[in-house]
Amino acid sequence: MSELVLECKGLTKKFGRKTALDNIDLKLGRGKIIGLLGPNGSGKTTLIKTANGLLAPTGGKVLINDKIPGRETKKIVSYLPDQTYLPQWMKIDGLIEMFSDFYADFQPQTAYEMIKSLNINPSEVLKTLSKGTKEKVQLILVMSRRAQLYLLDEPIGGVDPATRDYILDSIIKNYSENATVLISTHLINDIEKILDEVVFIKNGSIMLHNSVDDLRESEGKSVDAIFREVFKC
Amino acid sequence: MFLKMAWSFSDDRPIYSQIIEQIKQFIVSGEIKPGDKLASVRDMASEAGVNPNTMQRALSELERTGLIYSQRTSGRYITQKEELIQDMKNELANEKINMFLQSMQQIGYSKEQVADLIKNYKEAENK
Amino acid sequence: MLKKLIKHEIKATSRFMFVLFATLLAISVMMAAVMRFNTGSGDLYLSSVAGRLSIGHYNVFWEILSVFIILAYATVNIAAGCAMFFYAINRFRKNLLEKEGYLMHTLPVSAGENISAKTIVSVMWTIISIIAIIISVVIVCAISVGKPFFTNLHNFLLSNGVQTMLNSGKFWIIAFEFLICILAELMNGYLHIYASMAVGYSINKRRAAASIAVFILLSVISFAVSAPFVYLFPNMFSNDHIHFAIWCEIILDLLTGIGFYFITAYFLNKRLNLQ
Repeated sequence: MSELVLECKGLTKKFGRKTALDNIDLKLGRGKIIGLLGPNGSGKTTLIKTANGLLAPTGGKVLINDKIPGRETKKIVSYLPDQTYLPQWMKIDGLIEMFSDFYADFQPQTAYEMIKSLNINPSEVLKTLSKGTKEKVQLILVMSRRAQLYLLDEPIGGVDPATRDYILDSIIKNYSENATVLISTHLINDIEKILDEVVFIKNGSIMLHNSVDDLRESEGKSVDAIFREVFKC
Repeated sequence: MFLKMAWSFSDDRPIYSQIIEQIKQFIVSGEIKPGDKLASVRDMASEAGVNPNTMQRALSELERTGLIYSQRTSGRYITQKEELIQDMKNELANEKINMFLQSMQQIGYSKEQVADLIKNYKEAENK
Repeated sequence: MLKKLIKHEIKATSRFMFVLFATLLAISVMMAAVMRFNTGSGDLYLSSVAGRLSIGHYNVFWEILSVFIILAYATVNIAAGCAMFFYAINRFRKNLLEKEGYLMHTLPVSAGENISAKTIVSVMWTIISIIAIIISVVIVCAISVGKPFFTNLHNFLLSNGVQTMLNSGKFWIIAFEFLICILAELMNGYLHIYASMAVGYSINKRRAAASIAVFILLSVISFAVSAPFVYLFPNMFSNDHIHFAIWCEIILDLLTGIGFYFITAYFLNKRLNLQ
């Protein structure tokens, strides 16, 4: 097991003439909850997609546990996209079975407990659930894995405050010393308290990577306030 | 044993130092009693809505000062040493007095004037 | 992992296929009933329509209904034959190139395994569809004609010509090679489609049109690869050289199939464009 669960070395990603990621260097250690903060279009999703293998770098590299994204890294990375992506025809039971089948680190008991605690019926078909419930089911499946790197893309974006608290609480409860959670969001105020470190990204470049406590101590402000200053339009 | 405590955090100071302050506050106010057992780091972090590492850092600091001690198998406990708690109470009290005097100074009252004001206030209450 | 993907793929597609086969079975039985009801004696149905139409409204109703059933039968059979083609395209697109791709491409599997699973299951369903159509025709013939059908079939199979053929080793060898050829052609066909889609969907707009364009381009290349063979060996389709022709076809299918496979894998690995 490498010390760094995620490392970017000169990572660049271009789409035609547009540069989404510009020569990024980043080192993420284990046992941390880290916020990837930036405005829309800053490259957060692109960075996450290169880490989970959905996009191939144009230049430089990204390493998960010292390996290039592929079959082996997908075994230890748990990814939550920011939309409904699961096959809608499937039942929750079926999804839990599928995740158990493909992921050795998936814990079906945890998933069932969380489903029941939210009063969701596991034999329901995804298509029949409300958007909020679908998002909760997706989160539960992702958090029921004992992964080494969790990549959560805008998990609290469009949800109500109670769901948001539930999501943040399940991230805290799921904490493990070996694992790191990377949460991308532009809603800093709500998640600041649960973060160890923050990474600011703007126009595909890393502007800052620091611990929340250090930032608050040195600036005497919340990370939210610092963010607003750094990203002032 | 699980303790329900009312946490509140402000934006502009490190969380871990605020956790330390608030635990001291809970002890002083009696919400936690000497000898009480604390919940696990993860449960306390979940309850307070904070990062587990931050909670760990705060608890370690409190252990260092002796306000909390840990027994390896059973968990963390609030100290039962009365004088440690009394010392902490005094320290908190002094901090509050300091802050009070500073804010009084901002509206133009010196320390001696403040002492007089308090005396008058007490006498008015007694009548 | 491939086995798991195949299992999941079968689960995902079997509902649709089941509905299709159930419909085929139902329409076959109805068709057979129509034939039986209207012919009774085994005569060709259509020749007796003229006679019936003149006898009152009741019979006209049945005649018209019968025509609809016959049309429906033809339609469902053609649909069953084509269904796999359209369904496979839809399935590949929906599951690997649209939102579900976020799941499929982050499972601990390689792009190659995803492609293989889809290809294998598509070929499997196609073969089952063909068998289903054959069974449907047999059902219609058997039920509408009745016992004579089985007697005739029995006699046919026992006739001299058929027996000699069935006993000759050469027949079975060729039948075996022919089946392998069909398998190869089906695999090649689906991989051709998948490659076109993987390339077409790597761009942002007009993805369907792009896929069709790539499909045509790949067809041209395929044809160009096979043309020399036909030119060099013009006699290959004669009886003596039929082995050679079949094996040429199999090998060509394998070659182009492998080419399509790698094109698909490359585009899914490096040029995936989930939106």
